[in-house]
Amino acid sequence: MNDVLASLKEKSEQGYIPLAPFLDLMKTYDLSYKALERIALENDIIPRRYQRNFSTISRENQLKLFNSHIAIIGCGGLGGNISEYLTRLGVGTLTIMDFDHFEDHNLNRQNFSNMDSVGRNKAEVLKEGLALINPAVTINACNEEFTKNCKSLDDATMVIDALDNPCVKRELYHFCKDNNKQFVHGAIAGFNGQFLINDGLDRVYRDTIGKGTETSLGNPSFSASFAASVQSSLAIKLLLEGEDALEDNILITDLYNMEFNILPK
Amino acid sequence: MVLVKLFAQFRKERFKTKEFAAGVTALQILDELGITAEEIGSCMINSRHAELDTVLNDGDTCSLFPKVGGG
Repeated sequence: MNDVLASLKEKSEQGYIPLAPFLDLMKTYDLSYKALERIALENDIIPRRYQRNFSTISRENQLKLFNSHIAIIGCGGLGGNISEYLTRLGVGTLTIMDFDHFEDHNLNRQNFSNMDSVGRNKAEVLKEGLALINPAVTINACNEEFTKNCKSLDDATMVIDALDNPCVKRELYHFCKDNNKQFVHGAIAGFNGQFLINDGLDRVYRDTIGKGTETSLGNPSFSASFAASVQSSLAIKLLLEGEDALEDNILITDLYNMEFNILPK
Repeated sequence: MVLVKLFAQFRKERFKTKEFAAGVTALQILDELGITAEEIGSCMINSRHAELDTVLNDGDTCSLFPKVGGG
């Protein structure tokens, strides 16, 4: 351990360990990528892959991210992007869930859908892609449909709603309430998006159980990545600072008219 | 009079804001505009969440947002 740490320090440049010596040290000491990243972070040495986050993610918070577990339910337009953002940030464990497979009509917006992945389970495709981006992240890929009896989310403290219809979103919302998990909601339809944390989903889905206007408007690529960015930033602030950036309100976005409305719950 | 505000695609070929006679409900206005109740996400009356069958009184502002559920 002391040898590993001494080597990490020796190869570091201004507190950052570059990728090439990092990979060499893994071989030298027969450590997994994750194990070596843990040793580095616990000793205030930051893998250089995180350097350009600079003060946005402090050294202490990088370790906090490493020790965090977030679940992303749905691996489509929202989940495909959110999972990539959180992987690049270095969230230590991600549970990603989707029972569906990529189809040709997903290619307009869904990250990791491509000519090779059409026909394959979305969660499994994402796991492969995410592992190539950041091997320090443990990816639990669940090829299953979310139900209220789901056991795969037991260890996650935060759940990000990347599902694609209001009925299941509502089930996930109640699941999170019943199981004391943080809930980060996002949804899209056309140019529109909506976001909230923890409470108030009944305010946007009232008493109807049908689908939203996405069934007629569709979901373009930029709405998916925009919403994924908003959800990721909400999740990170909630995780690191314990604060709801929306201050217990609902955010309604309209990229067509560039209007951003805050509604009370 | 009551002020009705439409948001997002509801404005298309309709309006952004328009005055209606007091005494109607949001449901009646939606019917007149050719929008179904199932398309509505939030209905706000004077910046508070309200049911679509609430009668709008003189001076009220009713804001209607589309239901957004995709991912």
